[in-house]
This record gives sequence, structure tokens and C-alpha cells, in this order.
Amino acid sequence: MSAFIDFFFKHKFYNNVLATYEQAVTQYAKAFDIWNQHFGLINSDSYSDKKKVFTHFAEIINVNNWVSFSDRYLRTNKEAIVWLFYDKQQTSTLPSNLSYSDYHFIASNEKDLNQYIVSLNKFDSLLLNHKDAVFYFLATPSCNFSFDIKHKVVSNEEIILEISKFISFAKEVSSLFPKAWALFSGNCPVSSLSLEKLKSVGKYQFSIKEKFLELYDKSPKLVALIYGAPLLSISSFNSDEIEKEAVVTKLFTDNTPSEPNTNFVIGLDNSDSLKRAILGTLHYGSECKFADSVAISQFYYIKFQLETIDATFDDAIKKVNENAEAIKAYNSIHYSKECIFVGNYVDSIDPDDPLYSFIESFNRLKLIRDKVSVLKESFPLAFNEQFPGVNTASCSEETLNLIISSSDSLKSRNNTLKQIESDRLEAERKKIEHQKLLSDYNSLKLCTTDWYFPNRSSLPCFSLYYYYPVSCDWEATDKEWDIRNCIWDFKGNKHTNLPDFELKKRRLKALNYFFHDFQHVLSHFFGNQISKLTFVTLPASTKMDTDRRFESFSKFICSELNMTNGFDHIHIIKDGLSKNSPNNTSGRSIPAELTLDEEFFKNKFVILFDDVITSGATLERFRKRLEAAGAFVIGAISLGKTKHTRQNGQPMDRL
Amino acid sequence: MLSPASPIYIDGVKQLHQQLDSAYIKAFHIASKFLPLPISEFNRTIDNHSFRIFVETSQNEMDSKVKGFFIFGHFICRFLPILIEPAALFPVVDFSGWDDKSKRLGIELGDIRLGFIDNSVLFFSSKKDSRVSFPLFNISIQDSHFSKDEEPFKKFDDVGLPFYINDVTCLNTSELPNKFLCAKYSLIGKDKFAPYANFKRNQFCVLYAELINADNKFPIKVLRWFPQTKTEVFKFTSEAYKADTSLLRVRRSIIKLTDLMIDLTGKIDHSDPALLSYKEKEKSLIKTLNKSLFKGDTFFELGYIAESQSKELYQYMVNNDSRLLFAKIVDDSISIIGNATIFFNSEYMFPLSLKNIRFI
Repeated sequence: MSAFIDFFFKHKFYNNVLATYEQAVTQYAKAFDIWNQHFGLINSDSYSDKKKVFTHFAEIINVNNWVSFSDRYLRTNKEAIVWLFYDKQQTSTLPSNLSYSDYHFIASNEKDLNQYIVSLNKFDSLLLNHKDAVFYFLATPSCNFSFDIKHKVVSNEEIILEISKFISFAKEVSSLFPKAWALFSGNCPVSSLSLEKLKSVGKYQFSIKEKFLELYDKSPKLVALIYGAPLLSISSFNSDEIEKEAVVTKLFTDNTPSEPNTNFVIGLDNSDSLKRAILGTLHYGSECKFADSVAISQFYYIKFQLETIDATFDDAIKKVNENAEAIKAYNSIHYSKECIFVGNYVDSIDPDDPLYSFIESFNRLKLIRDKVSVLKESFPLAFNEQFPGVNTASCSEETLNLIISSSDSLKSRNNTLKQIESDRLEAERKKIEHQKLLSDYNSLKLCTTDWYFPNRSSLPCFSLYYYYPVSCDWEATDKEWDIRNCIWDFKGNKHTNLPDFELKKRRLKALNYFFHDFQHVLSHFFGNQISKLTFVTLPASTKMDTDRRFESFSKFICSELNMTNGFDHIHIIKDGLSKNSPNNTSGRSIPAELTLDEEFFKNKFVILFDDVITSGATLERFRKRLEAAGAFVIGAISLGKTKHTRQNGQPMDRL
Repeated sequence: MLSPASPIYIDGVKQLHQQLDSAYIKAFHIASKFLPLPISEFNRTIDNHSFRIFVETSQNEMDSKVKGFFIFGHFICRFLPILIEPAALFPVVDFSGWDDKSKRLGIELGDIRLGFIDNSVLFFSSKKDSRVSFPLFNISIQDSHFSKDEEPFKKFDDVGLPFYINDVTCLNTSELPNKFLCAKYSLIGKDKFAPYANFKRNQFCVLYAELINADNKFPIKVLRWFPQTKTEVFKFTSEAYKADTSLLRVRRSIIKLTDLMIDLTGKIDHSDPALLSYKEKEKSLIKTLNKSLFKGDTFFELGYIAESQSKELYQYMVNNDSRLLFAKIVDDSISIIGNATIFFNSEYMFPLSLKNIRFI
């Protein structure tokens, strides 16, 4: 009935029930069977049973989960499940068909199951990798391991590993050191040896023991001799014994000292280093060096001699260097060789040696000779007078002493002779000077032989041009005007009322006009003797005019023509008056008062200069002043010579 | 602040003294292997850098070298001969002007050539000059020329050349007849091998029956022997093993420290406390190592048993595989103590130079 009701009134539910049942019996068949076996609720496939299935479907699914879980473990870790049953239910085997409660039991102990799995894996690993250690630990050769045993093993993993280490060690040692191992183990298996015993001895001790046993096997008596028989305890592995055995082994393997094939020789080859060491000097080889043929024994002999006289080789070097000349002289006398011998080094500083004395006297004599040489150099005149022909380098000591004793008289006599000589030389010099002066003078005078003499002067003169005053009664030519202008412009008289700059400009023009002619004249007549001349301009009546006309002109001319300039050595102390000056009522020029630098003009060859020469009287007066000052006046040159009658050409045309 | 000028020493002198230094260090190392040297000798040599030489003769030629032997402990070591250029013995002079003439110690050539140093002991001590790092020595006559019978020389001992026994292959270990143990034998020929040998400190010798000797029908050679106790051998060898590894570490430390100094300051400060400490440690370890070298293995020529006494003993030794016997010597009189079997119970170490011998 309920089926019908559900079918008609809860159709969906009805379908769900059917589907669920279908699912349960197909998809979850195993779980369904197990569930049903446990609860026994379903006996048929009636709707009501199906509805029960539907109602308990969640349970069935749960059971299915248990089953899946358990089946999975049964497939992969059955032993763990067995252990679970053993541990919890004390059953040693699994039921052939697991029931609902079995599955439930399994599924509800997942944690424990996992633990069992870990332990089982660990045990398997220990057994695989450390089998001997496991058996050693269990002290049983049996291979049947109960879960308790397995648990025990796994719980003592650290101990097992330690045991394993020592077992490996024992295997290694027994392989490497069989004799020592046999002794140690007493030929018993490892498993019979306690862990303490295994731990008690290290590889080193086994190594030593092995070597010792090998030695002992070879030579037991010898080992006993070395070790000391009563003390020998072969089987002991005690650390002291092992140490002794190590020593014995080492003693056997060490080589006993072989014959010491040594011959110590302290020395240097025949070198300068050795020679310096023998002589006790830094300077052998640099300041002093003997021939290589000088034997080392000779050096030692020198050293021996130096010790005898308590001297050093450095003393000897110094003595020889300072007295080389004396030593060479000595050797020249005694051995006909002017050189220094090896033996001289010691001999020269040995007060008992003849060479030493010779050097002393040589030096003493040299001092005297030097003194005498000084006297000779200082007083040569008196020396040559009193000791003619004496060679101070080779004369006797007696002569030298005589000369020394005469030093005062030499000095005074020499002064006298020197004075005489000096006077003589002075006179000679003056004579020569005078002769030269005369010669130059004559030579310069010759240069002026063609010159004319003005009316009132015996001084030879040369004028560049003829100067025709404006008072002349002819029409002057351009040239003649040029000359006039040149001379006037040169004079540059202030009273012409031209401004200064104009006067200077004209003066310059005038200079340009006649300078070349002037130079030509001097070169023509004096040639290379121009430089002997002192150029002196005739002072004008006033200082002002003199300076204006002649100061820069003199400087320029002397610079260009290489003459000495006398301008600065003539000093006007009082102005005179020119003939044309408005203040001059005398009708003639009144010369300036002047002084001459006599020291300058003494022996000078003077060439005078004036702008125009007319009578020559001014020239003559000035000449006499100069000659009185000691000058030699050679001649005079002027720009113009005053002429009142026309001449043919110009004086320059002659040159 | 004024400081002393740099020293100026003659180059040849520096070279000669460097050779002396190298020679004595090498000789000391050799002597350590052959002879039982007291700790004072280690201290003298390693710490104080000093040594002694016995001058046998300086000969007469002007340039002939001085012949002598190193002295270590109280032993004149005939197996360590040395020829010295006389110039190496002269007083060392510093030409910088800081030298104190009164403190120059050396031997004048005159003393050498006139034989004043013959049969004398020369003492070489370090000439301290903090400005230099190369070795220089002061030299003085410690014990002057005198005869070997005189008191000062009796304090020295003399050791001949090492003698190696190569023709004994086996030794009998049965007991020696008593007559040989009770007999006394005279030592002859000492002057040829070790004229100054005296047996105050050590009386042991080895008797070796030679098979071939053109001058002697029954030649029993007497060899000087310096045994070492087993305790000492074991102790020193064990200490040496440890010292060896420690020395390596100390030397590495010295190198590291000096490298650091050079990196930081460009030079090595020899007065640095840490460096000095390492150096002291190094010296101490070297002494330990050197002490371990001696094991009493070597025999030294001393002389012979008088031929008039040796016949019976010689015949026994040769016919009974007993060509080596151990004895004591007092005032040139020898008494036998036994054969190799004495070492079973003896405190002395068996000479390992005989280790290849078979015992029967």
C-alpha cells in the first residue's frame, strides 16, 4: 500500500527510493551486503525494503568508505592491519572475510595504522641496511620478527645505528689489520664482542698494533731486546703500551744516522772580499789594489806585520797615498824603479823601517824646498841675483838652508830691485807711449797736408763748402744759396725770431744736407784713424748757443763716426758776446770764458769743428788753449769757408 | 733624537761569519743525532747562539787554514772537522764609528801563526748588534793551549769517527763463558782515534772482532758507545712526534703574523710580543726535536784491545757468532759485561744500528 501511495502521491520520492536502492545494490553492492549482514534489515527487493535501503543509505555509504579505506590498506599495508588486529584485539591473523565491525574497527584506527606503517618501514630499512646490527642488538640469529620485536628494534634505532657503525669499523679493521684484529677479538665473531670493547680501541691503535705485530713476527728477539722482554705485553691494547709500540715501530723504520760526510770549510775564494777581510779594510779594491798575482799568503803576511806594529791597513793606505812621491823616489834610488811596491804599504808606517825614515826626511826636505820655492817666487829678482842658476828641486839641503837664512835680505833686496825695475819699466813705458804718441800724431798730421791754413792760424783746416756772404755782389746760385741756408740753419740763431720747432726742423735739414759730405771728408783724409780723433766743437760765445748748436750734434757725429766726444769736457763759465750781438759795442766778438778738462784732453788728438772759418783767429786761440791742456790739435773742419770772391767749384769737388 | 749610524762591516767578514753560523747549526744538528748532549748545550746553541771549536793545529804556512773540531756538550767531535780561514777569527770591526774597540773579541793573526791557539778551545759567542740581522761572532780562547794531561783539559771528552758494522749478520744469544766476563783487557791506540777521551761520564764500549786487519792477527776493535735508556728514548721519541706537528703549526703562525705585519706596516717588528712568544715556542720545540734525535745507535772508534791479550777472546768471538760484545772501560781497562742478551733486562736501549742482525 505504501508503495502505491508513494507511487501516486509522492511519485518523485518513489522514484528516488527506487534509484537509491538501485544504486545501493549496484554501486555499493559490497558495502550494502556487509551492512545488511550486520543489520539484517533487507530480505527481499520489496518496496518497503527498498525504502529501508533509502532510509539507511547514508549508513551504507559510510560502510562503503570503511570498506574502501580498509581495502586500500589491505592492498598496500596488510601487515599494518594485521599488526592493528594483533595490537588491539590480540589476534595474530586477519579474518578471511571482514565484517561490518572489522571494517569499522579498521577505519576508526587510521592514526595507529599509519604509525604501524612507519614502524614497519623503519624496521625494514634497518634490517636492509644494518642487518648485522639488528641481529647484534637482538642477540638472536632468528629471522622471525614479531611485532614486539619489530617495535623494539624501531624504538632503539639510535642504538642500532651506533652498533652498525662499530660493526662496520670492526669489519674495516679486521680487513686492514687482520693480525691486530685477531688479537683483539680473540678470533671470536663480532657479535660476541661487547660494544664497550668495540668502542675501546681506535683505528690508530690497530694500525700501530698491526705494524708492531709484523715486526714482532719477523724478529721477536730483537723486538724483545728493544722493548725489554719483561715489559713486553703483546696482547695489550692499553694506550701506554700502544704508545710504546708506536715508538718501537718508529725506531725500526727510522734510519740510524749515516756517516756524517761533512767537512766544514770556512773560507772564500781568492777574491777581493777575502782580501778585505784579511787586511781589515773596506778600501781594498777601491782605493788600493794589488796585482792578481799577489798571493793570499802575502796578504796574511801584511796583516801579520801590521799587527806587529799595531797599525791598520787603512793607516798604510793613507800613508802611501799621501807620500806616493817620496815612496817612488825611494824605490827609484834603491831599486831603480819609480813605482810603489806591495811591501811599501807596511814599510811606510813602520817606524823601524828605512822607508819610514826616508819619507820623513823627504817630507822635511820637501817643506824646505817649498819654502825656498816660495821665496824664489816671491823675490825672484833678488833670488836670481844672489843665487843665480840654483835649481830648488834638486839643490842640496845646505843650499836650501842658506837660502832660507837669507830670506830677510832677499826680501829687502828684492824690493829695491823691484823699485828699480819698476822705474825702468815706467820710463820705458813712457818712452814707448811718447813714441807712439808722436807716431800717431805724425801720422794724423800727414792726413792734413793738403789742408789750407787760414790767415791767422797755423792750424790746417778743411771746409766743406765756400761760404759767400750775402754782401757779395753777385747773384748767388741755388747751390750757393743752399750752402748759405745750410750754414745759417745749422747756426740756428735765436734772433731770427723763428719758433723753436722751426729752428730745429731747419737744423735737422742742414745736418742731413752736409752729414754725408762731412763723413766723406773724414773718411777720405783719416781713413781708419778716425777713431784716434777727439771731436771738439769750437764753443760759441754763449753757453746757450754752444749747447744748442753743438751738444747733440757732437754726440751724433761721434757716435756715427766713432770718434771721442770732447763736448762735455769744455765748460763755459761765463758767456761772451758775439760780434753781432746788440750788446756788443766793441765791433769784435768777445769769447766766452771757459775751462777745459785737462786730464781728458792730455795726449788727445783733437779735430776742431766750427760752422764757418773766416780768419782762423778764433781757431788759433782755442787751439792754444787745448794744446796748453796737453792736447794735440790735428786740424779743423768747418762747414764753410768765408769767401768774398767766387771760387771754382767747391772744396768737396777735390775729393 | 740621535740614533746610531748604520753599521759598516767588511763584506768578506760578513760572508765568513755567515758560513760559521751555517756550519755550526748544521754540525749541531748532526751531533744531536750521534751524542747525548746536555740541555745546557741546547740552550747554549739555540738560545745563546754560541759554540766552541777545539783547535788541533793552525799549521805554519801564512795562509793555511786553522784546523779544528766542533765541541758539543763536552765532546770534541772528531767527525765534525772544520777548516777555518784565519781571517774569520779576527776581531770584527764596525767602521761606522760606533764600535767599542775594547769590546772587539777575536784572535790576532800573530797568535794563530805562532801556535798560541793550538790545542786550545775557541769560544764563539754572538756579537750582539741590534742594527743587523746577519750573524757575527766574538771569538775568544776559552781554554788555552795546554797538554792533554793537564787539569783543564780533563773536563773534555773526545769522540772518534763513527764506525759502522756491516759484516755481522747474526749473533749468538747464549751465555758468555765466565772467564771472559771476569777478565780485564788493556786499551791501546787511543791517541790515534780520540786522544782526549776520558771515561768519567761514560764507560761503555763495544768490542768488535774484525775479520781483516793487516797489522793485527787478533784484532778486536774497541768502539766507544753512548747508550740511551729505553725510558728516555721512548719519552723523547713520543715528545718529538707531538713536537713535530706543533712545530709546523707554530711556523705557520709565525708566517701568518709576519705577513700581516708586512701588509700593515711594510716591515717585521722583531720585538713584537706575540712574535717573540712564537719564536720562543719554536726554539723550545726545536730543542725537543733535537733531543729526540739521539738514540745511542752509533759507535765511535776508540782503539784496540792489546794484541797480547786478545787471542783467546778473538777466537771465541769469531767461532761462536759473537763478534760483538758489550763492555765497560775504566782508566783504559776494559771489562766485558755481556753479549746482546743484556738488553732483555737492561735499562739501556739496544743500538738500532744492529737491527738487521739475526739473533740465534
